[in-house]
Amino acid sequence: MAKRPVQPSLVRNRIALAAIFSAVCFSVIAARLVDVMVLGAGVTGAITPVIVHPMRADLVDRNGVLIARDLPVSDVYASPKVFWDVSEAAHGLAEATGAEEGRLLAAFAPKRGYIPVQRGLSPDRREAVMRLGLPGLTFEDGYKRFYPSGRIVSHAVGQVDTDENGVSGLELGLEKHLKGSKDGAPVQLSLDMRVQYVLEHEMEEAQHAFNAKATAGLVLNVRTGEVLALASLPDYEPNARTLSPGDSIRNRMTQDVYELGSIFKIFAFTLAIEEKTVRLDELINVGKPLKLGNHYIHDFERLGPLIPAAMVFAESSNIGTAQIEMRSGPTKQKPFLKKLGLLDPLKTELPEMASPLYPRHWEEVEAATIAYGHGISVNPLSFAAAAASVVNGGTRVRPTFLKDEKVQDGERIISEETSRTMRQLMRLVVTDGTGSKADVPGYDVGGKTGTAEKAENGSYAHHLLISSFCGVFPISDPQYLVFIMLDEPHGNKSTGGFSTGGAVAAPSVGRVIAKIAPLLGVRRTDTVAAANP
Amino acid sequence: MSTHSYSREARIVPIRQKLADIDWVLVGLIGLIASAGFATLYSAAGGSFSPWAGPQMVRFAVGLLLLGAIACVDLRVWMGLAYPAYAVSMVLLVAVEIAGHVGLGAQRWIELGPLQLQPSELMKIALILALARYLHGLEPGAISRPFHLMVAAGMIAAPVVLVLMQPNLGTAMLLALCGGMLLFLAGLSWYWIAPAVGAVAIAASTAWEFVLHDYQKARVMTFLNPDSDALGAGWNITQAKIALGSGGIIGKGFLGGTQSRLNFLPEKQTDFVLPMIGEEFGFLGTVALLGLFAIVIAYGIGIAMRSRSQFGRLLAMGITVNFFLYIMINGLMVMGLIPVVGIPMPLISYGGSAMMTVMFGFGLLMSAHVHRRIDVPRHSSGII
Repeated sequence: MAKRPVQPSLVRNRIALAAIFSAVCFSVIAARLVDVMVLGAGVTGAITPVIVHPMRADLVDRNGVLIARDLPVSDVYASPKVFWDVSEAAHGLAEATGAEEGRLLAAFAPKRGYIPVQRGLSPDRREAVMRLGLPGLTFEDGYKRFYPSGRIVSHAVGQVDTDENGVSGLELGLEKHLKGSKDGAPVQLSLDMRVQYVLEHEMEEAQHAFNAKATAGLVLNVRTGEVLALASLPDYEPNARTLSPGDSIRNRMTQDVYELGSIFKIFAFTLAIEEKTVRLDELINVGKPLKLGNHYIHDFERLGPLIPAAMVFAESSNIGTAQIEMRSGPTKQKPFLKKLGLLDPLKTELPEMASPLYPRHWEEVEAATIAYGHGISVNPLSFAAAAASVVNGGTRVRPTFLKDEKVQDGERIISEETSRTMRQLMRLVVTDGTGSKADVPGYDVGGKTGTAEKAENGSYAHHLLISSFCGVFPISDPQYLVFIMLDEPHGNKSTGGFSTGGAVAAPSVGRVIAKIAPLLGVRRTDTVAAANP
Repeated sequence: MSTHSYSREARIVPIRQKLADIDWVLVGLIGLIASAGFATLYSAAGGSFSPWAGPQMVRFAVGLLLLGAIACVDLRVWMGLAYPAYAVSMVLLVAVEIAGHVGLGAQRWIELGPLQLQPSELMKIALILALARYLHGLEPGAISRPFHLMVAAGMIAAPVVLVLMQPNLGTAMLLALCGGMLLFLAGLSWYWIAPAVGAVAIAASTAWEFVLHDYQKARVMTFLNPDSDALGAGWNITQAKIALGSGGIIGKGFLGGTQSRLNFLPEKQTDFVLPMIGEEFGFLGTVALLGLFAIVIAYGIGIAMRSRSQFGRLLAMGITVNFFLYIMINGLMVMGLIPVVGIPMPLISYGGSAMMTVMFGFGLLMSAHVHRRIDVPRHSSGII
């Protein structure tokens, strides 16, 4: 091989290859320019309408009031390498975005990398950043879920993560509805924000007045199953990414189970009346504690010794209720509670739903305690649904968070007759029994009080109570159920130191009904009477 | 064949003769491209020579004098200066690195009277000179021997690492690609090239997987199929289309660009000058500019082909490749296809350092042209 000619020809070949390569590169860019500048020449940015599809549909209440909406936001990032003056850039960006100047300064100082400056900038803040005229800024546009009413519906509505995926509440439960809304139509909830504000306000007042650990509440349409309001305190700010001290993301209406106490007597009496094991005027001996095996069943205050069965319910006698329940026994009680949905996890659009706890061995003693709401734990929403099924004429109610105004066609659980009798008994609780503070003139409130001792270390703690009231109005033709429950309330002067359901929960339920009944267009019974003498 | 007679002969060629040997058509082409740059900068300032067009013209004038002077210096002198220039550049690179660590925010350039020179810019020229010099001294095919390859690769890697530490990804990329290209041109065996290309492909896919931001990936994917997500990730491409496409075929005319729109293009006078040209001069103007670039590159390749010495060939190709890479990296960058790495459009973008580097490079290219007939023996170490 001759040395001299080899190298030049090899190098020339390689140069030729490089020339071809560069020609190809230029052709590709030229082709791209033809595509962009000639074929796409008719399109100009200034007149191109841009249709922006929010990632998630709006959530609105039953009247169209906005509950959640995606707002366009930008995340801004900086490449500090190209900043002329790092401290000036940090100062400007801190002022424009609200980011912490010290953090920015520290991150920019090495003049390298790709630094996140601030997430979720609103359009006006983004504009302010633009006006800084800094080089090396990148905006990533996206959406941020905004909840105009803040804390008020936090537990029911839930939250999304930074990628706009639902992580809790209806945002998670209705994920498919919210993401699948192609035409951008909002998802309409059963909630009524006016009712929600009233409920939340009364719950806050009660929580504060009785220094309770937590409060849960609900307004439910007993015929359509629509949840008009649902609240749990403490709540949280859904527009913030972090919890403030004292806030809680636990939805106590659905996520926790409680032994709800006397409020469960509704079901004991419903069963007894349906099974005709008791007459309301029958005298029951409640004079002394009832001995069951090794257990004694006591009453909160001494009654009797002989009182009518109706007053056993109205005065909430454990001794009397247990005796009546034992006439049916566990073999009737368990299937009955199952029909009411109290032994199965409730299915609604809310994903946070605790399963009930009940004894595996369900014998006489268990039947007697379950009659007055001890030995069985359910979440309050399940209880409310079962109570609604009792008062609405006797058909099963399945709660829903989507607006659907047709009366639910649930399976029949008890007769119309039994339902009517139970409504009379519940009215008696308010007129002559433990729930007198829930009465609202003109709206004929019926209800039942509940005061349960919390189980602590294997026995019941007398001073730690779950106090609740379940009110229904108007009792002659029930439309709405209002439930409020306080966890560990402390009685004050206004209640004479009592912290029972009748003392701390019933007045709040009464006030809620007084405020929402006119809003919901419920007719006053007294004006009806006056108009039709 | 006596090399002495050639060198003596070369030494006595009068300057006038050398100036006549300069390819003035190529100088004219360079001037034409630079003038397009002046016009664009004049327009970017809203029809004013300040703050950009005026200083740029002064720089170009200085650059032209530099080009002429460099072209008249014997190629063998540049060959003799190759290693010293590389050494000085390395020392300066290390020096600014240390100084940079001592005082944060220290300027990474040196003042030479009116000129400002960044060591990394100096290194772009010095690396080409030194590699050309080293490869010139090798037997045909010797570059494929592990020892020689190691030396050459080390000469490339040392400045690349230092520049990466600055950090200056764009310049490091430029140095690495330019150096690699010279090894290829010097006849590196395909047995080395194939695995190297494979390794780069793996590194690139790793970078794709772990280094690139999601939105950058989306940009590339969307570039390959822009209609897949026209309103989402395709937005950047759409923006590029608007900036370029609003010029249409003939453009909006000189000074007719919509300033308001370009005002939110960052660095429109430097790295992002191309969309502005697209808007004002349209498709025809942009293609004309690219055509001028292509002709200059063709000239560079022609000079390399005609050069009798290996050093001249590789030097000419190195300068041409460097120029080509500037254009390609900037072009891909403004189209959003690669991250913004701060590589300007040569001769067009506003800025002193790049202008000086490019004009210095053209000076060397011209020197290779003027001295194309000189055959430099393999073992020559040039004239110092």
